[in-house]
Amino acid sequence: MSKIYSVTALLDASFTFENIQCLLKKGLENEFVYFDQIECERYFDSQVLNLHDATNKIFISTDQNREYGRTILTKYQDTSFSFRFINDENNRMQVDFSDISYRWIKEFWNSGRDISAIDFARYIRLLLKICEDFNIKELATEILD
Amino acid sequence: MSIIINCVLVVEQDQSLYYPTNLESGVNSILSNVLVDQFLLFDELKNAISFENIKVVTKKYYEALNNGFPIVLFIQKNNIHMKVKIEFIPKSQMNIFIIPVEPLFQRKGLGSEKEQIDLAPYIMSAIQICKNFAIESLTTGE
Repeated sequence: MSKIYSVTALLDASFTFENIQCLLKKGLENEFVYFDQIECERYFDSQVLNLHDATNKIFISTDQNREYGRTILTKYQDTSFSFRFINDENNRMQVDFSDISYRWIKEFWNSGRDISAIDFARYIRLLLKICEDFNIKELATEILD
Repeated sequence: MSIIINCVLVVEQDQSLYYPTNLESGVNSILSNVLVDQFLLFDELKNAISFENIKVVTKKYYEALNNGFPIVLFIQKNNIHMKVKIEFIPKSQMNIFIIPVEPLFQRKGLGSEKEQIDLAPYIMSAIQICKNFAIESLTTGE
């Protein structure tokens, strides 16, 4: 059974168009590639979005009532994930990298056993970099079976 | 307020060049990472730990962890003061608790209207001292 990996940060910031745009912009500055999500189409066949279209997709096009927040498919170097924005019950911004695929692995070798584990440290560092203009109130990793 | 890190520590008798493979080398890695990254490092009685006494201290902490006792360290860099508590969970994991001693309050450019505690520097420090390990989970909490 495959596992679902995610890293979530709660920011000391409101869930606003400006703050979402700021985070998406920071992502682009760090070479994130945002994809339009079209049902039944392959991920990487989707259209690449610029900042304006990505922000509109997140803030305007996406159904805000959906429980799982607003997401945009994102590719970064050799990994990819859903870049997700959630408005919590106190109108604070929660940001996460969820459904991480092609995940970064840390391998233990030369120990007689083949052990590898997700390298959460790299994802956490990346999320902190994207959120560097905001205070971090909480952060958590999660692995779902 | 604390940051809890769950590290995977592979317990093997043979030696790996890059990742800790037994408890003693795991303890040594953590202490070395702290010193290499130019943190000031103190034991539970606030006595300084340096590269000169790291071997003796590693042995002492290995014995404590191996017998089921947690160890406590204090580390400091710039304005960041942290208490670090380490527990060993046989046979393969370490739990590391990072507790800000004097929480760092700051107001960043966006979002905050007043100075708030910012966990980012503590989380970065925690990752830094665990860099030889696989971090299986990391959680912040009260």
